[in-house]
Amino acid sequence: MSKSKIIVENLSLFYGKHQALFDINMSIPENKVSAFIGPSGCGKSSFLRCLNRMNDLVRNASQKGRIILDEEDILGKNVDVVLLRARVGMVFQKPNPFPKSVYDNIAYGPRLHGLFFSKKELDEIVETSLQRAGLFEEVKDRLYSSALGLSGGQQQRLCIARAIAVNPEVILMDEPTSSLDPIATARVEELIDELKEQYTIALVTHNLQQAARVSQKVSFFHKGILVESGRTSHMFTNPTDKRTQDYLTGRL
Amino acid sequence: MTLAKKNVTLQKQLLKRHKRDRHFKWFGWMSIYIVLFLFTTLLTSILFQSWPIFWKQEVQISLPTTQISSFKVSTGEATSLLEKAFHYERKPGLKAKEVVSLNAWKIVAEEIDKRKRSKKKSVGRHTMWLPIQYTVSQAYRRGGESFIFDWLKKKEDEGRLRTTFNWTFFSNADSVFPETAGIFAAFMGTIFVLLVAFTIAFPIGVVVAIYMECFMRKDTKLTYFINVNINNLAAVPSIIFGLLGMAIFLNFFELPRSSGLVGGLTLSLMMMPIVIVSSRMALSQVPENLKEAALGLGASKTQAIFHHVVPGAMPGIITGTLLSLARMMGDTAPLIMVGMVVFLIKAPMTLDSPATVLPVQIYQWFQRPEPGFIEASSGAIVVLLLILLGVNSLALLIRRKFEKFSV
Ligand SMILES: Nc1ncnc2c1ncn2[C@@H]1O[C@H](COP(=O)(O)OP(=O)(O)O)[C@@H](O)[C@H]1O
Ligand SMILES: [Mg+2]
Repeated sequence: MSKSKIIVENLSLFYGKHQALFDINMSIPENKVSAFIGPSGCGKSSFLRCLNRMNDLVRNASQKGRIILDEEDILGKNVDVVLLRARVGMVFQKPNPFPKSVYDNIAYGPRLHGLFFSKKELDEIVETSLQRAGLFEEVKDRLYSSALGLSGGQQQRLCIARAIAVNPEVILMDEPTSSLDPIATARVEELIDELKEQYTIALVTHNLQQAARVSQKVSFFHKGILVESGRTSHMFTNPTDKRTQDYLTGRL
Repeated sequence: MTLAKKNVTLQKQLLKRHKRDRHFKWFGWMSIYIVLFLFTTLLTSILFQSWPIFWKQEVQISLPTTQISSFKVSTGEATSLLEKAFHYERKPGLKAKEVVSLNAWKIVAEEIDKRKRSKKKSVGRHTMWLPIQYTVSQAYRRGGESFIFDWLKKKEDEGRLRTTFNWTFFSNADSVFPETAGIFAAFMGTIFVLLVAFTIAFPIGVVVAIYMECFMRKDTKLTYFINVNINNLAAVPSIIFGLLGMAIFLNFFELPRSSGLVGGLTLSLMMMPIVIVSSRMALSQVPENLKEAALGLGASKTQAIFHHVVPGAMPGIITGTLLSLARMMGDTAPLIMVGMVVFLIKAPMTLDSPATVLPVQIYQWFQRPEPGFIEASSGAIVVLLLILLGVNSLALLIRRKFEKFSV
């Protein structure tokens, strides 16, 4: 498989005394979609949130181990979290557009980081982000009306466009289609497939078909432990661990 | 249990349930009707009682031509002019001070001063409308025998007696005569007091709320202690805040007694906990995922809060503040404690001059034995209720308008 974008070494995560992740080791390949699957409560979201340090916000959450993004340990003391999150964007389970116009939603990140020098440049960023998220045609006439007026699927793609607008290297997605209908889901899946050309994508999903369809690498979590990890085509046909087999056949 | 038996039991159960539903519905409607009845009774009785104060009888008087000094008209000059005018009515025994308001000389003086200031050099013979004394006017309307009534009847036939809407009730300050008393001074006082209270309580209250809700750890003993105290303060009887205001602002800081400044400061103490509690409520209702979205894009915590959480809570914060302002507007006790019970023939123009507020004015008028002041008091109540209605509907409107925001 191709070059690794992120390498996780001996990562453990604690919420107070409760340990949510046990000694995780894995690599996330560049320009590929890596899927994380597992029964609910197994620590998929927790793991994903380690990758851009969203767990910093949870009081008394603590991590041990190393997460190396392009040769730098992002769990290090003097890592700038703001910069990290500009490099590692995130899309959440429930679409969460700001109660502002479509334009302002996309422009928020670039404005935050000062990524443009003129209004024209910002317009361009907004347009290309929307285009890459495959949303531009649908919203070009309502750029300045509220993003809350969009459908759920459109809102989720807007959130993806918003993440793209800061031009991240990695995009983390936590069950991005779990609140969408099948058609919107298919649309987002297509989008994920296209996006991997430019970005490294880490995708949490509880939908095995989805993992099979869009990912190149799958990691199976169980009770905070990374049970098995490998090429998607391989994992779904030849799981080695008993627990993975059970999960894939619906017995876990 | 057989199917038939089961159906019978179900039927019985269902009947009982429907009956209970009906009873509850009936009870609910009864309660609503009772509340509505009480409320309309209150409103109509106040409206009825206040009605006379909103309509004022005036008589048209011709003032004699005289030489008037070029300076401001003096009390003596105006009074004698008025008496002379009544003398010319050729009605033996008719005296100005028994018919028109005892404040009429002021109106005469003002009018003449006004005319002198305008181009006209000579103050010629001219006519003006003067308010009739409240008691005389009421008695005349009821009917009866008296040479004053005869004269008024004659005037009415000549078209020189009219009933107009009592605008001066809104433009005049207080007076010892009901026909010239008005709520303007109290209204200005209310504005001053609310302005001061708002300027202090709103920014401090909102900042405290933001800090407590968004930045402070919620699980410490200190936070718990502060929380309990603030909630407690929001429920403390207002008269105690009056005592506090008296102790702090009058005795310690020696600020001017009875002034709008002190009243406002006192109310700000009272308003702050209410603003804090309602603002915290509004802040806590902003969905957490907005904050996460911003953080995920690389906003700092402070940025996420000030870009998204605070604006999202603003409608709620403003609504809460408006409602607390409405409460402050109706509060009386603390302002009485800091001496805002004053008789004002002129509206206060500065924050440190003596002032009174609408509810205190209502209270003051209600205490006066002279006829007409109960009516004036009721009139002020009507005005106060209307203002409160306005403020509360504004708050409701803001809430409605932004309701769609809540995700
Ligand atoms: N903020 C938190 N504080 C404490 N425990 C948490 C927190 N978030 C998740 N957990 C715990 O960590 C475990 C993993 O949760 P999560 O990562 O959300 O699982 P998943 O996303 O796979 O369903 C669960 O046992 C959950 O209760
Ligand atoms: Mg999850």
